[in-house]
Amino acid sequence: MTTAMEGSVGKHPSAPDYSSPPGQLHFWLRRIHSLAGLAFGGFVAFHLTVNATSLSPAVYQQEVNNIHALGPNLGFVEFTFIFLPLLIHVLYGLYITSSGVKWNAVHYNYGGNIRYTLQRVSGLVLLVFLAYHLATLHRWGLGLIYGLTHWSALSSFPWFHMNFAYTSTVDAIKTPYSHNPWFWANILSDGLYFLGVWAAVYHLANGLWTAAIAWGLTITAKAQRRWGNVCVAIGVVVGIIGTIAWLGVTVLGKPGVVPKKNSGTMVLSAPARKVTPGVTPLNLHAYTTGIRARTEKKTLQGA
Amino acid sequence: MIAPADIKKTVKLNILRQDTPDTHPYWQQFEVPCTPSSNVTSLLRSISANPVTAEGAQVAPPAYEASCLEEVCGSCTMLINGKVRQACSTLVRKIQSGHPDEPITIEPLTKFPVIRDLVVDRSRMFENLKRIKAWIPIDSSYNLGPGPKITPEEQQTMYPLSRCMTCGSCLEACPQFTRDNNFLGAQIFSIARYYNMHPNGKTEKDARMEVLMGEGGITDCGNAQNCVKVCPKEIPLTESIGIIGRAATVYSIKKFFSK
Repeated sequence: MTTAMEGSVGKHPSAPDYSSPPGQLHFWLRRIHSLAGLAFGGFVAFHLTVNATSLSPAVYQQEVNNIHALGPNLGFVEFTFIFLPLLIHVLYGLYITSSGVKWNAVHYNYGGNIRYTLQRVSGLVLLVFLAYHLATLHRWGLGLIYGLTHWSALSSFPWFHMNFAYTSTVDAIKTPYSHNPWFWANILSDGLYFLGVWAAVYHLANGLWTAAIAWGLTITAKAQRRWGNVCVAIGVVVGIIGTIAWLGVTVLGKPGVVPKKNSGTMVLSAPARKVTPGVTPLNLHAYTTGIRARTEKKTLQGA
Repeated sequence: MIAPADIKKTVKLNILRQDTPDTHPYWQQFEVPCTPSSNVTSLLRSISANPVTAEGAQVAPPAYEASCLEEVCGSCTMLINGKVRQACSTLVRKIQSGHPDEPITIEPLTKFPVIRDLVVDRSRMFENLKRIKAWIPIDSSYNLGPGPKITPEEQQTMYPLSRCMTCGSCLEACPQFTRDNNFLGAQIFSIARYYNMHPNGKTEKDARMEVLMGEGGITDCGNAQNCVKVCPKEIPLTESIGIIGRAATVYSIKKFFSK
């Protein structure tokens, strides 16, 4: 009997179809997703630590200068160690979240199941947050958004500028319509940043916990609990750093203030673009030429 | 026998019924006699003896499975008050305490195709067992003699794993296991660990790892860990998942460099 069974493993008609990709591609994709998450998580911890120095604008500027000392290599480093892992992690993460799962944390409200659900929810929150964050703050972000909304015409710094690290960060996070922290749009933007920081902290800490199981590092319930405590500690530390960073550039942020001491290394690297006379604030073109040149000139005079 | 004050003489049951695999399910309420020692299977048996709904309509008795009546066969696994359990080991007194008037809801498992009423087709689990070669090869052209020794320590680890009764509770509660995908689930990971531990079963370990690392395999586990919470046999399923995860890491490196 056993031989017959072993020889031809018959398939029941109701059994699902299995077609494993060759060479365990399925396995490697998920493990690469895990590694990419670790790489990006490391960046997030670094990023929040640098931003926490925004409590002191001069120190923050110094940190930014150190990063930009990489010069033309910075783009390569950013793409390879930040954007590529993020892209892989997001794309495969969306596949994991959407590929026929059935969330049931209401019926089976165990701690592990709630953490599982929150991991997916926080991932989706982060997706929205990162899209907003990159589009409105990063130099690769789409200035188009500012252009289309004409925010650029009103804001002194529509997005992050390396030479005015503190001011540009604070200005770009705040809506240009008002710098009053209690203005509704600022509350919304600051709130989204707070949510983003803590969603990232949770996603990172819980991701570290599940990655240890996935790779087979923690096996027994006791070992998983022990490592879980370490993950909570990591989350608390990164969370506190992140909250300091958030405070520094949102609630405590002073818009339009350029650090007095720029430690000598501050160089205006922006190309001296010709300012077209008569550019109206409603002109999309205004952002790329006039605004940047005008603000740089203004702040230089101020300093 | 003296009934506690909060146990009423009868109990209401809301049963989700379905006549054929392709027709729509519908609810029916029954009111049946209940004693302090009644379990859900005994209530279903009472309904079968007198299949009259709470409204007084004579209906076909609800189909259900039951075999061992002592929580070792897994056949009577169903959703009782929304959670997966064995009907035979679910005492009405336990699930009713404090709410004697509220009806008990009985539904078939949601992760397996319904055949009729509370009877579902769980052959997917058996197919998966075949895929991971959940057996010990003993056939040969000559007498292999007595099997190899298993130490008492190994026995202590293996015995709880061997208690799996293929009831499907772990799969029913798992958010990653659905009717549309091909996830293997905790049952398979634990059984694979069991056969990988066995001195003879070890010979098929690589073949098992190939399946466990493919589509629907170990990497599809999301670590919600509902499986270990609902397992009626208290099998350390999450430990098995960790073990298979480690074996997959080791096997992938081994395969990358030497296969």
